[in-house]
Amino acid sequence: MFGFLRTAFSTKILRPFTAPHHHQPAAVAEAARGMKVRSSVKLMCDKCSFVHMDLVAGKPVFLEEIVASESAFNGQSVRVTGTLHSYSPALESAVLVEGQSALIVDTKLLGVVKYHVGQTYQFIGVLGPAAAASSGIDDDDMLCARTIWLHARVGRVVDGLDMAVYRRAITELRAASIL
Amino acid sequence: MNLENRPCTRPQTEWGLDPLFWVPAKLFNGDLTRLVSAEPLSSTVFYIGNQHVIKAVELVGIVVSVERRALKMIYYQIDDGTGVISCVHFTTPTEQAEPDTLECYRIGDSVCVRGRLAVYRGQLEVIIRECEIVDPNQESLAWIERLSIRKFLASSPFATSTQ
Repeated sequence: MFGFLRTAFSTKILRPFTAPHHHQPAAVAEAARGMKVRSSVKLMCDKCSFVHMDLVAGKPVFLEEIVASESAFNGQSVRVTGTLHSYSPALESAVLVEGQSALIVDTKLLGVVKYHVGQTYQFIGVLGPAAAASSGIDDDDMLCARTIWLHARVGRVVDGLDMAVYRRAITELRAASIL
Repeated sequence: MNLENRPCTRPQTEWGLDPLFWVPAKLFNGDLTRLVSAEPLSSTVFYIGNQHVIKAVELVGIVVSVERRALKMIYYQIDDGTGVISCVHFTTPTEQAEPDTLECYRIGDSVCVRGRLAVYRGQLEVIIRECEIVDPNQESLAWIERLSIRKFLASSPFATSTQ
């Protein structure tokens, strides 16, 4: 009986159910490349290439643009700048304000960072659907809760940044169709 | 608007007459992705704009990824809003012997990188020669500066008085 079980769960029987490996046989790959390869150097097919992080650039945008058309920015990689209005350690979310516009920033990916209300922050991340658990947000902050949040992957303090020059530079880049 | 990169018609022996050949060209990351390789030095020299030849660049942006590979090298990815480019810092023997002296930038740092261009595994990257942390305001200034240089690259061809 146990012998049967051992046979049933042996690697030979289970092999067809495991994910097929995409390495080419050495002889086939060698023939394709038309050269001999040292045993210390492993052959790689197209799927074996090194994992390359194709990070998308965070396009600089203003908060009022996101607020004006939330659906248009959904899924985009953006860079936003604003003043920190409040921070919720329980939800790991920050409320960023610029002028009359506000956006909730999900800071889970940034780890444990000490945030200071009133400082100017810049975040790079992807705009996506709001987190499901938003019950811990203050009623005051709920007023600026949108259907999309910024899921930040990079955050930094930019105190002293001249916002007038920053805005002017972005406007010029847009006029030249660079952004 | 994409920068239209045209190959230089001048012989290789005259590339040095272009001042841009000898200095790190101040460019946007987005423009680097569309560079044209210059034969036969296809992995180190590139054409940009109206027949200009470059081999080194100066980039200003935010560090969005840091990857240390043992003590030999550090891979950074720099984002300037127009694109993301890989930059490699090869450590010196002194830095390998004393790892505490090795300066490693962190994600979120605003940096100015100068280095030469190279192609590794089909991907364009910058081999870092100098790197320094800059003020966030300097990034805004760099955008405006590069915008001006970009107009020059597109309009003024690399040509001498004999042509």
